[in-house]
Amino acid sequence: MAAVVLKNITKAFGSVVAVDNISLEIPDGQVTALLGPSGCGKTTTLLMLAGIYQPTRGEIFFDEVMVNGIPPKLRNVGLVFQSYALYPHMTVFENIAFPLKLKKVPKDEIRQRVQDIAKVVQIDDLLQRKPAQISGGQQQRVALCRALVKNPDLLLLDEPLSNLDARLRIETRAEIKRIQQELGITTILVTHDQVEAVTMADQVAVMRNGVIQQYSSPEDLLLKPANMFVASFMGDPPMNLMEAELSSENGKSVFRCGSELKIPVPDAIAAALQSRRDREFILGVRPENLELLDEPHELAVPGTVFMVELLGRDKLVDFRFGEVALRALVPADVAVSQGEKKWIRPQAHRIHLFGKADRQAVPLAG
Amino acid sequence: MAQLKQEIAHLPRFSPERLRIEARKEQRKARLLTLFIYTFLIVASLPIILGYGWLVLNSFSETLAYGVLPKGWTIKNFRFLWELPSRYYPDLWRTTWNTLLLAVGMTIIMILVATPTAYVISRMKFPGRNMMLAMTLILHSFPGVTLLISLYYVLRSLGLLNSIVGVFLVKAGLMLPLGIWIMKGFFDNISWDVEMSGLVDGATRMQTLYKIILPQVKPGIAAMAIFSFINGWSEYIYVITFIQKKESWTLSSYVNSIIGDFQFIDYGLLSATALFYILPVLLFFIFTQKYLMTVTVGGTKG
Amino acid sequence: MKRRGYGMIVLLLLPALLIILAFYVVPAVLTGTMSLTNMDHRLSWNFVGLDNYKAMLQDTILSRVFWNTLLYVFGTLLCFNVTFGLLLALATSYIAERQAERTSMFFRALWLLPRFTPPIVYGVIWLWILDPTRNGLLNGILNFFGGRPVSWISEYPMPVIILTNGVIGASFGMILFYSAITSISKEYTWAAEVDGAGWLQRIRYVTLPLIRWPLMFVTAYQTLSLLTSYEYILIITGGGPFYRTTVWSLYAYNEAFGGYYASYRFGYATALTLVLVLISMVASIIYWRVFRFREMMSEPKIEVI
Repeated sequence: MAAVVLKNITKAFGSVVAVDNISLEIPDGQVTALLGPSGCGKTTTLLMLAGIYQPTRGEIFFDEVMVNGIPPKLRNVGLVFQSYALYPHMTVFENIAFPLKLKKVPKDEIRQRVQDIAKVVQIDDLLQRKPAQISGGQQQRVALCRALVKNPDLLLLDEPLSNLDARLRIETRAEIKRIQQELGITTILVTHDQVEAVTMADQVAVMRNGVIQQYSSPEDLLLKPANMFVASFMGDPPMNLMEAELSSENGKSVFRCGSELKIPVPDAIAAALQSRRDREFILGVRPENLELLDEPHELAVPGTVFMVELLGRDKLVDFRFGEVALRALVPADVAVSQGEKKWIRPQAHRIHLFGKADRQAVPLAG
Repeated sequence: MAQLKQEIAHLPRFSPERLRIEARKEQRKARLLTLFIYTFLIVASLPIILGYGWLVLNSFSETLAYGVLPKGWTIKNFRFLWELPSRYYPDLWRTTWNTLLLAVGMTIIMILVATPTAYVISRMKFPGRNMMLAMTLILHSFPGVTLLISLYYVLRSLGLLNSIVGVFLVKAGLMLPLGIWIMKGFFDNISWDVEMSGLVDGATRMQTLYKIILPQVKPGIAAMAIFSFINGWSEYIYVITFIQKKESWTLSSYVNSIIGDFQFIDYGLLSATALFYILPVLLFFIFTQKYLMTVTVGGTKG
Repeated sequence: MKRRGYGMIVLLLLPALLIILAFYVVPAVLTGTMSLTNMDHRLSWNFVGLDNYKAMLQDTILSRVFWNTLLYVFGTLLCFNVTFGLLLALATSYIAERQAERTSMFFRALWLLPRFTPPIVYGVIWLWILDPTRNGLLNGILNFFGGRPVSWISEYPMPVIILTNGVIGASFGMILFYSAITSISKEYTWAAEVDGAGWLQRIRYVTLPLIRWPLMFVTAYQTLSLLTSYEYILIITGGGPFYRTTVWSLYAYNEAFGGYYASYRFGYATALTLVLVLISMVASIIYWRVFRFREMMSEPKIEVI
C-alpha cells in the first residue's frame, strides 16, 4: 500500500493551466476525495497519479519513490472511469482478466483471481455476459473488479457514482466503502458531488481553478470553511452569504447587511474583531444554524416570513430584508406560515466571516 | 534483456531502482516505436513524394541522372505552351479551354441543379418522393462501365459525339444522383426547428432558404463545388471514349496522346504537360484538402 | 396556394429529372436491350436472344479474365485498401496522438493527393517510375547499384496494377479508419494503458475490435468499387501483356472501344457489363450476410462514444 505525496504539481495544456502548483499528502490505507466543480483540475490530477499525464512541474511520490516519468503500466494503480470504459467486445470475465492477461499470468491463476475478486464485489454470476447486457450498477462493479484484480497499490475512482440513479448511488457508496475497508487499499476519489465526498472520504481536498482551496476532514469543511468558495460550495441548502459592515448603534456593535438588515454581533466575535482594521466582511451563516424564535431576543433579528418551502423532513423559511435574503432551515413540524413575524437568531459560534477583499476566513475565537 | 531481467529480479517490487530500470526500458521501447512509425510513413510515402517531385523537377531539367537527380535547368520542356509539339496536335489553349468548360460546367450544374433538388427531397413532401429516393440508390449500383456503351449510342443519336457538351451531359447524369445524395445529407443535418422558426417569424420559404438554410450548408456546397471542378477537370474515360476530334480534346486526351506518340523519347515534354494539367488541381488541393476529405467518403473510385 | 407549391417543386426537380432520365435511366434500359442484340459500330438492332450470354460460356479468354478479376480485386483489397489503409490510419493517428497533428495531417493529405490527380497524370507518374529503361525511377536506382534494367510492366503486370490501384485505394480506408480510431473514447485508451497494454497490445485488443464495423464496411464497399474500376489499368497496362491484366470491366470496355483487340462488339460488351452488375449484387448479398450488417444497423453504438 502506498502513501502518495504531490509536491508543487502544475499541469499546463498549452497556455491553459489545469492544475496550478498543488501540494497534497495522501495517507496510506484511507479514502481521500478530490472535490470540485467541473473544470477544476481534479480529473487532471487523477490522471497524473495514474501516469497518463505527466506533470509540467513538480513531483509525485508513491511511498517516497518518485514516479514522474514512470508509465501507467509500471505504477500498479487501478483506475475506474466515469464511463467505466468496459471493453464492449469482451465478456465481463475477459474484461476483468485483461490486466492479468497482459501481465502473462498463467491461465489457471487468472481464472482463480477473477473469480475471487468477482465474489468480493458480488458479480460472480455475470462473468459470461457482455457489458451491454448488464445494468449500469453492475457495469460499475465490473469496472471496480478490473481495477482491483491486479492488487493495485492505489485505487483511483473518477466520478464512480455519477452515472447511477439516486437509490443505486447510496447502495454503491456503501459497497465501495466496504470493499475499500476489506482490502485496506489507499483510494483517491474524484467527484463533484459533496455528499459523495463527505460520506466516502476520510479527508477531502476541495479544488477550484486548479488550486486546492481546503484540505481537511469532511467535518471541518462544513464547520470551518477556509474561504468563501468552500463555504458556498459545501452544504445544501447553501449557506446564507451577504456583505456585512461592522458598525455600532446605541453603543452596541452590529453587522449592517444592506439597508434593512442589522445583525447584532455576539460578544465573542466583537472581541475577536477588535484587533482588525477592516470593517467590511462577507458574513455567512448556514440555514440550519438560524433559530426561529417567537419572542424578541437580544441577538435576534425581527423578520416577516416571505415564503416557506417544504423539503421533505425540513422546511426552508425565506426572509427578505430589502435586497438581502436570509433562509432558515427548521424541522418540518415547526409551525410557520407566510406573513408571520419571527425573530431570527444566528447561533453565535456558527457565524462565519470572510475578508471582503481576499475572501479568506477571518479567524474567530472558538 | 535476460540479464536485465535477472538484475531486477531480486529487487523488491516497488523499489526505486527497479522502477527506474523498467521505466527506462519502456521509454526505449516507446522511442523505438516512434522511430519505426515515422520510418514506415516516410518509406511508404516515397513513391508518392518522388513521383510528384519528379513531375516538377523533370519538367525544368535537361536530364535526370540515375532517373532521379535533375541536371541542367531549362524551360524548353514548356515550349508546348507557344508551339505545337508536332503538326498532329491541336492548339493547347483551345484544349485547356475545353477542359475548363467541362470543369466549370460540372461545378455549375452540381450547385444549380443538385442543391435545389437535394433541398426539395430533404424538406418537402410530394408524390413520388420515395420513388425518387429509391431510384437514386438503385442507379448508384449501376457502374459507369455498364452505361458507357449505351451512352455512346445515345450521344451518337443526338449528334453529340465528339463534343464537350456531350461529355458534360453524360457526366452530369452520372454524377447528379451521387451529388444529390451527398447534398441531401447536408440538408438533413440542419434541424427542422431552425427552419420552422424562420417560417414562423414570417419569412417565406424562399427567404428562409436563402437567409437561414443556405448559409448553413455553405461548407457542404463549397466542398461539392471543388470536388466537381476537380472531377470535371480530371475526366479521362468519357473524354477519350467519346471524343476523337482534336478540336474537342481536353488535356486528358492531349497528355494521353503524348504518351502514345513519344514513349521512350521525351519525358521532359510529358512531365511538363502533365504538370501543366495538374497545376490547378494541386493548388485547389493544397488550399482545400480539409474540405475534400469530407466528400471523399462519398467518392467511388477504387 | 397548394397548386403553386407543387409547381415550384416540379420546377426545382425538373432539370435534375430530365438529365438523369436522359443520361442514366434511358441508357440503363438501353443496356439491357442491347445485350440481346449483336450490335456493332453500325448501331443496328439485330436481336439475337440470349446468344451473347451463351457466347460467354464458350469464351476461353473470359475464364482467364475472371481469375484476373478475382486476383486483382482481392489482391488490391487485402494488400492496400484494407490492410495498408489501416496501417496508414494507425500510424497517422499514433503521431497525431503525440502532438504532431500537423505532420499527421501532412501524411494523410499526401496519400489523398493521388485520388484527386487526373488519372492520366497519375498514370504518367507510374509510367516513369516503372519505365523499362534507365530513365525510370526503379531502373535508375537499380542501375546505380549496378543492376540491369527490368521491364516491370511486362514482367510483373499483375503486381503493378495492384500496386498502382492500391496507392489510390488505400486513402479511402485511411480516412475512414482514421476518423473511427480518433473517435474512440479516450477513456478506452487510458484504461488499456493502466491495464498495462503497450501500443501494439492496445491496437490488437482494444482498437481493432472497436473499429470492426468500419473495417467490414470498407472491405465490402471497396470490393464493389474495385470490381468496376479499370481506368488506371487501361492507362498503365491497357490490359496486357496478352490479357494478363484484363479484368472483367476492362474486358467489356475493350470489347466495345479497345482499338487493339476486337472492337465495337457492343452487344457482347453490354452483356458482359450486365453480368458484372450481377456479380456485384451477389457479392453485396454475401457481404451483407457474412458481416451481419443488419446488426450494425440495430446494435447500440456504445463502441464510439
